[in-house]
Amino acid sequence: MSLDCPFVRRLLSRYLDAELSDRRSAAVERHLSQCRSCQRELDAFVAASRFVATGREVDTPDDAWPRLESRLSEHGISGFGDPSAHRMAVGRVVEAHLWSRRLAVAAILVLAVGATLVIPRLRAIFAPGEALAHEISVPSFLAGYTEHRLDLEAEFAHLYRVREIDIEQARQLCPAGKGPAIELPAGYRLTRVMTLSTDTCTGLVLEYHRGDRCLAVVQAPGGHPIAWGSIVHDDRRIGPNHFEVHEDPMRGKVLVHEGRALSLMVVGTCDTQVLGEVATFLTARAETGLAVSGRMSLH
Amino acid sequence: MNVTIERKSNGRTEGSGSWRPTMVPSQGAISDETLVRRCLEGEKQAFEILFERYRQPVFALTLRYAGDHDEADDLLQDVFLKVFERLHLFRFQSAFSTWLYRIAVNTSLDRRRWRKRREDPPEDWRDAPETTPADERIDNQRLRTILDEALQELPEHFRLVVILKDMQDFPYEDIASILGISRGTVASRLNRGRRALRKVLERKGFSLEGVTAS
Repeated sequence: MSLDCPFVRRLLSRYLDAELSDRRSAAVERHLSQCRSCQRELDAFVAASRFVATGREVDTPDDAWPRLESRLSEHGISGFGDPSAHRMAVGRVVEAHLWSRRLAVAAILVLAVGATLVIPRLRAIFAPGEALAHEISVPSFLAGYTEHRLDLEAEFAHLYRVREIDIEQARQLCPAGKGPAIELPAGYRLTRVMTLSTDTCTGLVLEYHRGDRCLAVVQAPGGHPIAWGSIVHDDRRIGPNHFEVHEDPMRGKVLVHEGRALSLMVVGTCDTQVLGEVATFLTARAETGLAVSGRMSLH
Repeated sequence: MNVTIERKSNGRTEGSGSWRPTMVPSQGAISDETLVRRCLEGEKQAFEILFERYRQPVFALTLRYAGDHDEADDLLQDVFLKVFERLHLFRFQSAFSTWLYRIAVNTSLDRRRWRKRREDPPEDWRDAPETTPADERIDNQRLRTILDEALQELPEHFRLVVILKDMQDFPYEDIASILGISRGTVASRLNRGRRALRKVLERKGFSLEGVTAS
C-alpha cells in the first residue's frame, strides 16, 4: 500500500502514539523512510510532544488539602466518619443546585412543547412511523469508491453505522420550510442524505449533484468541529481544512466544498434539535424540496 | 534538528516509564474504587488519599490549561469539591481517573466561559518578559513560561487534547471519554494541535531542539 504525503501527515500523531494498526503503521514507516519532508514533520511532532511533557512538573500549593477541607466544611460537608451524615451533607449541597436545574428543565420542557405545537412539521418529522431510513453496511456503501475509501472501511467500519435516508419518502413527509442562510448554487439537487453514527454521536452527510459536479454539505452542529472527514477528488485525497467554513449561529459550522466528481463523508455530533434545524435547512432548498426523517438519528 | 523517534505503546512511552506516579496506585496500594467506596461510607481519610493521589496531575492540567497559577489553584479546589459532591454519582463503570478528569476539564471550561462573560481574563501572559532567544540556556522556570504562553495561544479544543496526551499520557480512548468526542477527533485535534504548537513556538523564535521531557 502506497500512501501520499497529505495522508501520512494526518496519521503522524496516531503513528507516534502507537494508535495505528500494525499494517497501517508499517505503511507509514515505509513512507517515512523515503520521504524526508514527512520525517521532518514527525521530528517536529516528537519535539513538540516532549516540550509539552516538560509541563508535568508542577509545585502544588502546600496548603491545598487544608483549604479543601475547610471549603468542605463551609459547604456543610463534615459528616466523615458517619455514612448517613456524609450522604446527608452531600445531599444538602446537591439540593442547593437542584432547584436551579429543575427550573431549567421546566423551561426546556415548556419550550419543547411550545415548539412542537407551533411547528407541526417538526412533529411529523419526529413522530413515530414507518422507518424511512434503511441501514446499509459500510462495505456496500464504500463499494465502487477508490482505494482510499476502502482504506477508510478498514479504519472506521468498527466505529460507524451508516444509514442512507430515503429521499423520496422524506420529501413527502416535509415538502417545504424555512431554512438558515447558507446559499447553494442553483441547479443542484440533493441526491443523498446519510448519517454515520456511533453510540454517542451522529454526523450528517448531504450530497448535491448537478451533472457531473457534486456539492457536499456537512453538518457539524452545536459548534463542535468536524470529527473526521475525507474527500476523494479525482483520486486525490483532500482534507477538511480545504473546506470553506460558514459560521452559522443556529447550526454551528457548515462546511461546503465544490468539486468535480467529489464525494464526502464527515462525522460530527448531532442531536434532535439540530436535526430539526437540518430538516428546515433541507426543506428551504427550492431545488430539492425535501426533508429528512427524525428517525435517521434516533438510533 | 535530529530527533530520535520514540514511539509509544498502548498510550505509554516506551522505556521512559510512566508518569502519573500519583495517579496509578502502586502494587498493593488501595484501588481508587475502593477508596471511593470508603468515602461513600464516610471515611474522611479515603478522600484525602484520593486527593493526594491526583492533586499533582490535576493541578498540572489546570495550570497548563489556564496558564495562571492562582487560577489553577482555584480550579484544583473547585474540581475536588465537585468530586466530593458528586461522588455518589460515580457508577464504577469507568476508571475513577477518567471520571475525575472529565470533571476537571468541564470545571476548567466552565471557569473560562464564566470569565469571558465577565470580561475578566487572567493576567495577560504578554505582560511577561520577552521570550529568551533560542541560543541562550533556558532554565526550567522559563521553559514552563514559554510552554504556558504557547499553550494559551492554541485553540481551546487543541490545547486540552495536547495536554491530556503529551502531558498526562492518556490513551486516545480515555481522552475521547473525558472530552466526550470520538477517537478520530482526538487524533485529528492532536495532529493539528501539535502542528499549531510548533508554529506558535517558531513564531516566538523558540527552538525545540534539545528539549527533553524530564
